[in-house]
Amino acid sequence: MDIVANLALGLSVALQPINLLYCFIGVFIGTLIGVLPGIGPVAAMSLLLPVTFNITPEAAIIMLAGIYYGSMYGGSTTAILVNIPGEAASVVTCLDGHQMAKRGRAGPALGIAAFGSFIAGTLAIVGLMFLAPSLARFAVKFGPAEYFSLMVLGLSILVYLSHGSIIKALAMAAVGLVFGLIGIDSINAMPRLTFGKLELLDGLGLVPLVMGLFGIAEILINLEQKIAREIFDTRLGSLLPTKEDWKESAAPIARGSLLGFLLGILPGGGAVLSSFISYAVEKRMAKRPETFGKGAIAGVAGPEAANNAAAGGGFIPLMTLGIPPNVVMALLLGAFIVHGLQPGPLLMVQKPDLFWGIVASMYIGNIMLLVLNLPLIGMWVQVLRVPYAILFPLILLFCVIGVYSVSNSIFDVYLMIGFGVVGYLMKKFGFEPAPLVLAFVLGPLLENNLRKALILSQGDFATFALRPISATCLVIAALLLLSPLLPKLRAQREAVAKEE
Amino acid sequence: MRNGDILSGAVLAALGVFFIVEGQDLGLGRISNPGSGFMIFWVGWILTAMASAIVVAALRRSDNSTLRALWAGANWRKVGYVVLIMAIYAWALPGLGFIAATLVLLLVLFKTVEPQSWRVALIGSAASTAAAWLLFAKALGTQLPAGAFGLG
Repeated sequence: MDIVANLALGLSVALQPINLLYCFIGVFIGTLIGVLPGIGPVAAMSLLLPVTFNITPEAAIIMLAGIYYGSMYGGSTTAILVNIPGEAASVVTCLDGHQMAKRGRAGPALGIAAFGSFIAGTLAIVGLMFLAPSLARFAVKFGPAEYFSLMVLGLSILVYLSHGSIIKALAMAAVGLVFGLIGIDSINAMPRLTFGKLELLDGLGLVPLVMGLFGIAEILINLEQKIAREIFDTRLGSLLPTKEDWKESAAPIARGSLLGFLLGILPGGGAVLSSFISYAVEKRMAKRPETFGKGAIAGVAGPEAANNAAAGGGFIPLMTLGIPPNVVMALLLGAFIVHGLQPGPLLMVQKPDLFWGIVASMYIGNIMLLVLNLPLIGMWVQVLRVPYAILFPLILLFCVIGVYSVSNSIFDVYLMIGFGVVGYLMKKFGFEPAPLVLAFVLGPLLENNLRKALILSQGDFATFALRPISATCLVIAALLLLSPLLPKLRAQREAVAKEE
Repeated sequence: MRNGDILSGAVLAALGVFFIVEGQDLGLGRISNPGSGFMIFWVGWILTAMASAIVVAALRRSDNSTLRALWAGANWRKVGYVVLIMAIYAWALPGLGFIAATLVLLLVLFKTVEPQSWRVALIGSAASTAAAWLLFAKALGTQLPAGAFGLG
């Protein structure tokens, strides 16, 4: 009964006209940036973060969350029609989605992507509703040692799951941890690594860092390559999948939803990884795996369901533990903090209207997305026709406005450009930005909990080993980081990376 | 990627050593009450170890790929040019103000990176600047630099 009462409370918040409007703006912008290659949800959310300063926390989080799951929907349109993923989670949708389009089945491909996303998104919210309260009750028992070990585990999973070299990912996480500590030490007010710059006393800004490493770096990489964009020009036909399509897609959507939801909860999992794994699972389980890559509808339905379910699952660790499992959630954490809120086990008790309002808004947002994506696909195709040479100066401009408006500081614009160059070089040299950004956000929390745990235990490191939750997290983290030393496990991990 | 890994590993190792030195300067404190530099110091060691491992692994590989290969077929001049234009824009923004600086930035980018016709470049830059100003400064209340002309 609790759940029904809570959902009713949530709906009463989410259905307020102003929250409905921000939910619509969020999913609309999310779909738009999902459609547009070269700007992802991370950059778009950073851009709009300052805009949320003047609105209520409910409306702000509802809009930013809408951008995230909206981009998961929009990304598939570009993947299917242009063979360019609008954002990273739609990379695998290109494989079979574009082949379907080439065979005159663009309509059903777009249709199943939208329906699969809707079903998975809704199932993930149901999961969030049932799982979050119990996890929050459990998390109340956590002390600094547990929080520290949990964050170490989160970073280890992210490092383990990153593409390519674990050592490079670990190095990036180390850089991110220290970057997160720049500024005044919260315990003894000592300035750290500020080089006498007043602008650095409050620390490096998350928005210039993220906009630089993701937004600007992506533009620079696109600029040096010639993007051949071939927009699918024949009529889309009916968007409704046939009975046969549904028969082939039902199980992949169900599996994708479950897989995506579970991977979304895991730190470092997220939408990108879940879509890749879902594709691999569907290919292995298919009766005719040879059809994959040639227009198999299961290859669209599974990954699209998975990436949407992961987007929903990612809210669980953020809202119940206050720990963001991926970069997008790190930005949402920033938005919570800007509005004076601390997500964590007490959020549901202290601000039930906010928590359940956000959950309920996701139901509504998913319905809006289905309406936006199916009848308006023609409009999104028109957006795709804007040449990149026209588009990229505008994206650059939006990045500058977004960064400047956070603190009205030109210093932050220089920082963003600097991080853009660093992000470009990182891509060139095979380093991933995600471990750096997540470690950057977790750095202060991690250090704070480590120092508190050591003060409480009077310097006894055994406190991390003697507390069961902490010890379990640290053992799993150690196993993950040491696993590449075992040849069999290393081969398995490399196989996953290769498939990606 | 061999030479690329050696170079990036060396840069990261230097950064790691810098963190170690800075951490020590900030003070490590005691184990029962860690100081401001405690975490920076130890993360510096981890970074140095990882960076050294990247360099060692690269040295043990036999491929002889050069740094130049990373930019093979890529138009790196365009990348450098856009970064330079952005830096000049950031420098000029407080003095010129948002409207004037943005108008020039967009015109330059439209006209020089993948050259558009004057008509597209002029209309595109004017319309985009006006739309961005109306949306952000007027509708959303974002503070943008007004500059010497008081336009922003």
